[in-house]
This record gives sequence, C-alpha cells and structure tokens, in this order.
Amino acid sequence: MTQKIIQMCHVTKAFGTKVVLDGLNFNLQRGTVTGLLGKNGAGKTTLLKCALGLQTPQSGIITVFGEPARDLSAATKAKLAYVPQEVTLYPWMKIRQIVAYSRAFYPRWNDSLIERLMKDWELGVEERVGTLSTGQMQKLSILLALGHEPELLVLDEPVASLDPSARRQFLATLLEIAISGDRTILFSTHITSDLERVADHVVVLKSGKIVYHDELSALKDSVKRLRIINARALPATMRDLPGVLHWESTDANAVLSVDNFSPELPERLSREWQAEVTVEDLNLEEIFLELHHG
Amino acid sequence: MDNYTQVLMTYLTRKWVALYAGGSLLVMLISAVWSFIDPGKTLISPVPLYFVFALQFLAMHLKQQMALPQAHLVPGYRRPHLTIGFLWLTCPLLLVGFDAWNRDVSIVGAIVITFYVWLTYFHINVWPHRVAIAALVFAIAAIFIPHLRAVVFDIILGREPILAWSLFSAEAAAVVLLFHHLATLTEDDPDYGKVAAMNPWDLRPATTRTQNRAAMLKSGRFTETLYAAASRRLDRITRVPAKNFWQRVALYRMSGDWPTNWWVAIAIIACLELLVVKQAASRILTEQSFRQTAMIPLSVSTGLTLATWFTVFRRWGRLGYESLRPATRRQWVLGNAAAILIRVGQIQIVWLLLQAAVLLIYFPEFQLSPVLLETFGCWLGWQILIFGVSAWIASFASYALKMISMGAMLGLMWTGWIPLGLLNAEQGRTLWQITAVATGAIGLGMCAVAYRRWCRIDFA
Repeated sequence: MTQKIIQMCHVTKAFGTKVVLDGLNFNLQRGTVTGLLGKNGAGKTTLLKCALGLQTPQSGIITVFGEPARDLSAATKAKLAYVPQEVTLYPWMKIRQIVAYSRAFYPRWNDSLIERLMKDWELGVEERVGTLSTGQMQKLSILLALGHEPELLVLDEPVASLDPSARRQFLATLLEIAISGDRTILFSTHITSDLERVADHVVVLKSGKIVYHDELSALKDSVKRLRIINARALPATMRDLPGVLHWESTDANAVLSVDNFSPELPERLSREWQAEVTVEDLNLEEIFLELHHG
Repeated sequence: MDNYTQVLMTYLTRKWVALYAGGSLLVMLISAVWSFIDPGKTLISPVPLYFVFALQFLAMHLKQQMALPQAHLVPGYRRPHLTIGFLWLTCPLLLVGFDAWNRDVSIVGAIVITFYVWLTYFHINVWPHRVAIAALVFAIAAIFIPHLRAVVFDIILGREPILAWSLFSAEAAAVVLLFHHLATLTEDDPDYGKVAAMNPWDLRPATTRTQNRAAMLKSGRFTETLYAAASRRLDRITRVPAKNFWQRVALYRMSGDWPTNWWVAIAIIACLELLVVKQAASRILTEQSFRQTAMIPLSVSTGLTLATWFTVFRRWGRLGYESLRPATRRQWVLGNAAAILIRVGQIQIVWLLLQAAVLLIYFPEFQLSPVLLETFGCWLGWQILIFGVSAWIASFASYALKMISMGAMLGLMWTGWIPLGLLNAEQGRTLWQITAVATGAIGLGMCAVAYRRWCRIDFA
C-alpha cells in the first residue's frame, strides 16, 4: 500500500504570465493531517485543484493514490472528497434530498455519522439548499464530503464561514475522522489556531514554492525569537547569521527570529557577543508572519 | 475624474461591453450616414435592431452595479450609475431618429418601434419580469402576424400618431418603473440574485445567486408544483446506489440549478406557435411557402435545444466538484452528455408531435411528401449540429463567449435558412438535401471535438 497519497513533482502552473506554482514538489503522507498555509494569492487553491486533477499544470507530474491526477479511476474517486472554497450546490433540493443524491453516487455511506452531524450542526432535513446561509452551506458541503468516509479529504478553507462553535465542532469531527481510520486530510486555512489544534503537519506556501513542509512540532522547534540585550553596540554582522528571518535592533538590543534554531545558538551568541540572550517560543501565527517578512 | 466619468469608464474598460457597445454604435452611425447619402428603399434600417446584443451586456453590467450593497451604502452611488445606464439605453435613439429623417418616415414612429425592442430586451436582462417577457414574445410574434406587421408599418409611416404616442408613453412609464426598481433593489427582492457573470473569474454572480435566499423563500405555488414533481423523481432514483452508467445518468439529469419541467415551456410556446403558423399558413400554399413557414417551428426548436444547454452553462462553477464523484472523466463526460441528450430528445419528440398536429391541421396535403421528409432531414441535421456546437461552447469558461456563440448560432440559422426557403422548388430540394447531410455530418464532428475537449479541460 502506497504511503504517499499525493505526489507532486516539479509542478509548474501559470495563468497567462502569472506563475502560481513554480516547480513545486510535494508529498502527502498517508495518515497525516496537513495544514496548508500561505498568503492570499500564494497558490493554495491552485495547488489543491492541481492535486485533484481539476486543473492541469504546464509541467510536472501529479499522482493521487498512485494514479495520474488527470485520469483518476472511479474507485480512486470513491476514496476521496473535496470541499471547495466557493460552494454552489443545487438550490432547489432539500437537505435530505441532497444527502440522498450524494449518497447514491458512492458504494458506501455512513448514514449514522451524517444523521449525527446534521443534528449537531442544526441542519434541518426539510430545508431547501437555496435558503441556507453561507455558513450553513459550508456545513452542508463538509457533511456531504464526510458521508462516504473518504481516505483522502481535501478542504479549501473549510471553516472560513463557520461560527466559533461550528468551527470547534468541525475540528472535533475532523480529529475524530483522522483518529478513527487510516485517513489523510489536507486543508488550507488562514486560521492558524485551528491548524494548530488539528494538524500534525504543516506546509507553508510562498510565491508558488513550498518554503516549509514538516511536522508542526518541528516547525515550532525550528522557528524561535531571540531577544539579545548587550551593554555595548551589537555587531552589524549579526544580520548575516544563517537562517535569520527578521531583525529589529537598537544599538545594544536586538530581536531576531531564526528558522534553524538549535539549543546551541543562544549559548554561542551569548558567548561571542557577551550578551544576554533569551529564547521565545512562537505560536503558528507568529511563525507565519516571521516566514513572510520581507 | 468625476463620478459620471468613472462610471462610464467601468463600461469602457470591460472588454465585451466596450466591444459590443462601441461596435454596434459605430455600425449604427455608418448606417445612419449611409442613409443620408442614399436613403434606399426600406422604411427603416434593420441595423439598430442589432444593438440588442450590446444592450444585453450593458444591462448585465448595470445590474451587476446595482445589485450590490454599495448601491445603498455609498453616498451618491446610484445617481451616476443609473444616469449612465439610462444614457446608454436612450442616446443611440438619436441615430435611429436621424436614419428615419433621411428615409422620410415618421421619426417618432421609427423611434418608438425600435425602442420597444431595445427596451424589452434591456428590461429582461436587468429585470426578467413576466410583463417584459410577454412584451418581447409579442414583438417576435408581430414579425409573423400580418395584421400586427401592418400596424407596425403604419406607425413607422406616421399613419398612426395616436398609437405611436401611446406606445411612447407606455415605454416612458416602463423606463421609469425599471429604473425605480433598480434604484430600490434590495436583497429581499428575488430579482437581486439574478446577476450574470461576464467572465469565468467573476464569482460574485454565483455567490449572489447561491445566497439569494429571498428568491427561494418567496417561491410561489407554481414553482412549488414544479419542485414537487422533480422531488418525487429525485426521491425515487436516489433510493438505490447508482451502480451503472444509466443510473448515474439519471442522477446527472437532476443536477441543474432548478428542477426543469420543459413540458410547461413547450405547452406555452406551442400555443404561441400554433397562432403564428396559422397566420403564416393563410398565404397561398406552395412548396416554397411551406419551407418559409417551416422557419418558425425550426427557430423555436433551436431555441429549446439552446435553452437546455443553458442549464449546463449555469453549472460551470460546480462542474469540477461534480467531476470528482466516482466515475472516470470519460464516464462523467459521456454520462452528462447522455443526460442532456435525453432531455433534448424528450423535448424534441414532444415538439415533433406538436408539429405533426400542426401539419394535420394546416397542411394536410403535405403529409409524407418529399418536401416534408426533406424538412425533417434538415431539422434533424440542424439539431445534431446545434447539439455538437453547444457541447463544444459549453466547455469554455467564459459566459460572454457562450452567450455570443448562442446568438451567432441563431443568426447563422436565420441567414442560412431564409435564402434556402426563398429558393424555388427544384433548386430548394437539392440544397435542402445537401444541407441536411452537411449539418448532420458537421454536427457529429463537433460532438467528437467537444467530447475530446471535455475530457481534458480545467475547471474553475
């Protein structure tokens, strides 16, 4: 059984002259919950769509469950689900009908899960899809994606329109799904606190390239903020330290963030510059900002 | 740059709007100048009627600007937008008036007749109210009904001044109502969500439509009856999982924005057509006149097939999502094509039965005659061609391109069929046979091209 659910090798995708994915390499491992982070226009949606074969890159190879993304078999499609950023469903159908409609396409369907989620998320079975609010519509599309218990769940900013309570419920459900089976989840989001809550891996996309892809804990261990207090002026060469992401200083004090932190670094800086060096842990939002400085 | 110039620039910087509006105005100007040099023999130039294509985009643009929260929240927003919209609709009438003056016909008459067509078309694209739709259908019917046609000519010639001024008053009132509707449009209005996209990246119309809860909440008994019929069918076919191709096709047939019930549409249009054909059939019956009269059902038949494909255009935003359900891309493409083909087939079979009824009533001597078989052959070939071309057009993301192509197909049909209908019996036969075979063959080729394209296109 393949361990790489999605493989993207040297993928380049451009719209006209604008290169959105620039020779990108990405492997999504089985059983991981991976959060995709990036600024607006970084290429998150394009990456997800290319990964699912909805858009064709100009160059590169993409496989999903070992099959070319552009030519997925019915069996493979039955193992995946996608929740797009913009949800447009069938306005005339009632919720119970759209659930039945989606169920009819799949060889298996977890009715009890769907019934429970409809109750938890307060979706009335007799309500028409066209009368739902944006948040309710998003809940419904997530619910439809979970019905066939996909092995691969791809979500493009799934919680953007949900209220805090619904977001918590959704994340709890996501965790439940991730734990309950051999499932792989890839989702893009701007809400870093949500990502911290559920993701075990994180991908940071910047200017069409992946600038970070590893375990979330490794990212947090790697990116740190250092506060340096010195009695005399700090040397200008400090800016040239390898891995410095961001730097602010007065004559004798400096705050810098680094992306290759090692426990020896503060000791070394302290020793070399006779300075007091303190290390601060960063949350994911702060790490994201540090990675996007400059 | 003042507010008015800024609003005007929103039109001029939109590719399709600028192209169509500018192009149409230029052609109208050339036509008007030409009529000054050589007034010609016709009562009125047909050129201004083509301005309706530009008006479609102008209306779509104006509606997009007014169905926005800004229209209510930004001070001084509505006045310049409505004024510029009004000027686009009315200023080109000066060219119509100039043309009429050159031809020595009634300026008021020419203006009110032209403006009737413009306004109804503009109205439908801004606010598809049933009265506006009825007014446009009436205008089309007037082309074929001799009594109405005579009245139109009398108005243009200035023989019916009271009628002309009455029509002018009605048009002025309709303009006031239309612009008042736009000025007071809120999200509570079911019309708010009826906004068309002019390019594939324009997501707002889709979002507006999806969020147009008012329209769904205010659905009347008629709509509920249509929903109920579709719901029963949906409940029946979703009881069991779709395990084979045809079961999936049955599901694909339910994937429109609204439950389609074409029988109602066919019944309404058929009644209208019976009326029109009856008028046409009152002429001396020859093989040639039969072919000319056949233009009417052929046009309506074409419109019905195009309308079926229009439902696919509306689905563009979610086709990618739908394509990820269990089926290969090829199965999905073929399945959806089969779903549309079944729908078109159902409509056209009912349509053919209605035509048979029309023939039995009005043209009994043409039953099973060669000319009837040739007409049927041409109709079939043309249907295949429309299906293939529509399938190909539907695979492009641009909504504007789709609408223009649809218009072009209708234009092609008229420009192609009218000369064929005017040919004498012997010439006509050969050409109708060639047309039947050629359109059918090209149509099948287009189906193959469309299939290949659908198998590899990107989705939004």
